[in-house]
Amino acid sequence: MKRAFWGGALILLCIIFVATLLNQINATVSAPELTQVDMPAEAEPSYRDERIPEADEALSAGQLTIFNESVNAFGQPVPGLNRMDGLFFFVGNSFFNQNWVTAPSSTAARDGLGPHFVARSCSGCHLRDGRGRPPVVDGEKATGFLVQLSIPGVDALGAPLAEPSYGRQFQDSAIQNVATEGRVQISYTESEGSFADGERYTLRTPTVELIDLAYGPLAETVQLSPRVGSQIIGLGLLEAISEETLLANADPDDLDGDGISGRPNYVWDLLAEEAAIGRFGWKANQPNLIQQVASAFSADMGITTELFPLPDCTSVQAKCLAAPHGGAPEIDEDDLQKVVLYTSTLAVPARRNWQDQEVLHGKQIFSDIGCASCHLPSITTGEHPRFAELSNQTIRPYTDLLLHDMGPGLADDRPHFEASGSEWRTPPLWGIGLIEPINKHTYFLHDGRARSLLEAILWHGGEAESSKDAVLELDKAERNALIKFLESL
Amino acid sequence: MNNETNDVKPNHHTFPQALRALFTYPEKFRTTFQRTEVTSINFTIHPMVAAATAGQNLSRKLYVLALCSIIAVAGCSAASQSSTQTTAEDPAPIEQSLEETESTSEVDATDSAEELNRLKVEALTTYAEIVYASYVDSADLATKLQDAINEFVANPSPETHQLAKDAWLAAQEPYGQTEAYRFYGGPIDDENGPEGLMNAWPLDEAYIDYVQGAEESGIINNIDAYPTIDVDLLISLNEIGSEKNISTGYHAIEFLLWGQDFSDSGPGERKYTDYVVDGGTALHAERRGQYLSALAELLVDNLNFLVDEWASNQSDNYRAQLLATDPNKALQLVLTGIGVLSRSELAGERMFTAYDNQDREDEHSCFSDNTHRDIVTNALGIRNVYLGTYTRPNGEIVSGPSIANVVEQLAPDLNANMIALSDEIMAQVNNLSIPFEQAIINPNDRTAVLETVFTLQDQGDKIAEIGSLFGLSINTALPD
Repeated sequence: MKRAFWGGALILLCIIFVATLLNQINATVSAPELTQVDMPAEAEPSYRDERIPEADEALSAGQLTIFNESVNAFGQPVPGLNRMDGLFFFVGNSFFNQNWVTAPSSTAARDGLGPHFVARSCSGCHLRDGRGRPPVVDGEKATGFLVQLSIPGVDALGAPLAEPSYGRQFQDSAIQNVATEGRVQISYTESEGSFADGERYTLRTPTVELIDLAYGPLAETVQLSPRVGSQIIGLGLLEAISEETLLANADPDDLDGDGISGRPNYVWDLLAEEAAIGRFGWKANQPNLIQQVASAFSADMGITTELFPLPDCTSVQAKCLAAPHGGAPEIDEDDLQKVVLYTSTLAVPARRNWQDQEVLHGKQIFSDIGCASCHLPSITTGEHPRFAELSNQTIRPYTDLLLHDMGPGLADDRPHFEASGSEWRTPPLWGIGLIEPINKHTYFLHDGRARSLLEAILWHGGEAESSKDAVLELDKAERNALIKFLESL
Repeated sequence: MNNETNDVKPNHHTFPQALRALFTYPEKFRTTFQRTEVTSINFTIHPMVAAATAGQNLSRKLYVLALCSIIAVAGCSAASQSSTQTTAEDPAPIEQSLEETESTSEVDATDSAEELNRLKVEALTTYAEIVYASYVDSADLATKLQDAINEFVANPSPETHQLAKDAWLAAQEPYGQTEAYRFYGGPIDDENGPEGLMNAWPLDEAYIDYVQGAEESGIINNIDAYPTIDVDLLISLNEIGSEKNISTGYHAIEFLLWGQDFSDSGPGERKYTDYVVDGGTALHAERRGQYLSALAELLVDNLNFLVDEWASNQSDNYRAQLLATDPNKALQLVLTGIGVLSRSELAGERMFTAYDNQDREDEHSCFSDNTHRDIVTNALGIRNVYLGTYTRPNGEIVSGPSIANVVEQLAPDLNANMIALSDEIMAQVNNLSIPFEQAIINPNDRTAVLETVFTLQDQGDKIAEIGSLFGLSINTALPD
């Protein structure tokens, strides 16, 4: 009797235990999955219904996504770096953030600023690894905004020809005893328009002038290309996208007749000494990160590298040529590699509010009106030569990295390798919703002319004209939804 | 009918009692249900149960109970599964209901939560005391530095020069410990904080004064562009555009006292005669003196500001605000400060970068070769905060209930680990080869530097773990 009792009690306990366990397993399994919204019965949609959130779509960088919405959201390393790479990240961070100083200095690893420069550090233009902006106050020397210079024609490598007196970039700062090249002055012309529902909008077209020139007049045929510094998250991932993938999305002759003709920009790879597809820079003018970083050191800060060993002084800038330099090169190869490591391994923050109904509605519109044709919602990386962590990830940068003609309104009339004066690379949209909290401004497009995301959309022309027209037809709620979607990125 | 056990007369008029009888007195089971008719019990038993339990077979009754339990538990599973689904996006309600059930349990639990809260508040008060005391000491020694500098400028001589340098070295001791209060947007480094004016690095030497190879460089030598040198000028220089150029602070004073360091084994050797107005060794000696004096004045002003922000008799300064905040939020800030300093700033940015570069002067106090003290005082600052104790320059100790005490209550092993790490770090940093510029180059000494880096990183991770203990997420990565 007793045995039977205890046997029964034991069975009872086991059953309760197992049932609880099953309950726990069920709970763990079902919690992270999203709720499938039951759509009302409608005619079968012929396109993918974007109102249903996809699992993982918040993970803009796949498994390398971080969850951070603070002002430091752009400055975090990708998860999973090994200990030494994590420490090298600090070295790169140090060289990225700390000011370069005039040579000669005791801190020989940090000197060689200028003689002409735009910023004293990378973070000067990419503050908190984010986006720069044009000057907003009269006389402000905006950091984060620069003007590239050229005259018509190309050199032996296909690059634009430098302006004879001022070089390939205008630099409005200089070290002591060297005259600054001059000042940048921007004026705006406003134009008005209205949406189909009657609401009005204004856009502003910038006119950039270079004044107080210290080295004589600019060449009459000078071409100016104003550019702001972009947010630098996820660059290693973008670098890991294979050329095949990029080309698969290209359609230069618009064979599919959808009005979109993205094409690669074949530029020159200085290290490999051959042509390569460009993917960084506003016109996809740089083929890889090391060249992008070295070029920026040279043109933006006057720091020489093995790739760019000469200071950016022209023949008429005598004091510039005579000024002491910080060694040859001013940033040695090892430290440059650490900066490249840093820029390669900055993580991408996850999307916010991605399951909001309004955001999903905006996502639907984004797809319906064709934005996703160039701002591709997802892409898969190939093999990264240095960081296996970056390989074979499904990422969501919202770009095809290809050139598109954006119409005469946005043109800078300055070709760059194979990009024409009206072509621009599709910029990645990841992080765009965090620009405001991180960089405290909302200036978008290559020269920061758009004062909001909506204005940025309204500037879309050329291949994107029909999409822009569709936006004009949207009602207020739809426009708000579209913006909410962009802000979630 | 079995009534042989007379000592217990179960009263089975309530369900809980019946249940208790079931499990406590198995022999009585039969008795219970045999003696009680369904209708005389104050509750209704399901007829099935009544029928099933009416029989004599004890085991069968248990099996039936087991069956009911399965059904009940399965029902619970289904219920919570559906509730899990609907709250997939927001698990808080479930946690809240758990908390509610917990708090409605014994009174002791509430008491211990209050006790914990009290310990946290005490630890934060100790923190504020330590911060205040260390800033007071920093301001005090900066004032002594200012006096020594003014004396030196008025009467340049080898003696007054040495006294000024000694005063600078002394002033670093408390200040280095205050770096543990950075990285969370406190008064030192919020948007308007003076950190950039006080301790930023690297210094643009040629921007301030002559350097080897550019004998007339710097503001000091540029009488045309900068006719007057005073504190206002210094402040204005640091607001050019949005990019600060580093021309003030401890390291600017250091540069003007020691000069550039060209020696492998010693500090800079600027001559005191750089400040001798007539017949000195450098141009513009008088302006150099003015610049140096202005630097000291600005530094004292900045430190006095910090003292005010942490003083205890104010109602609206930072200290008051911090101690009025939810203790967990305040702890998050405090732990972030020491976590970031440990894992990122000290280990990564300062020590590892110098180690990796092997560049002799890529160290913070490169003119005076005092970086080894910076490292020790930074590490000590972290320890002070955790252990709730700070030793003032005069030997007096400021201490009180600490974060360690709180952690000890919740997770004594974690506390022991943290203390062990801190002990190890203090041993390591005090053992680094001097000067640091040699430690990062000599093969025999480099290993010790790297190991210290690793331990500091481990400590940073431990601090983050301590944060988790309080339910806080501590990010120990370096804010730009």
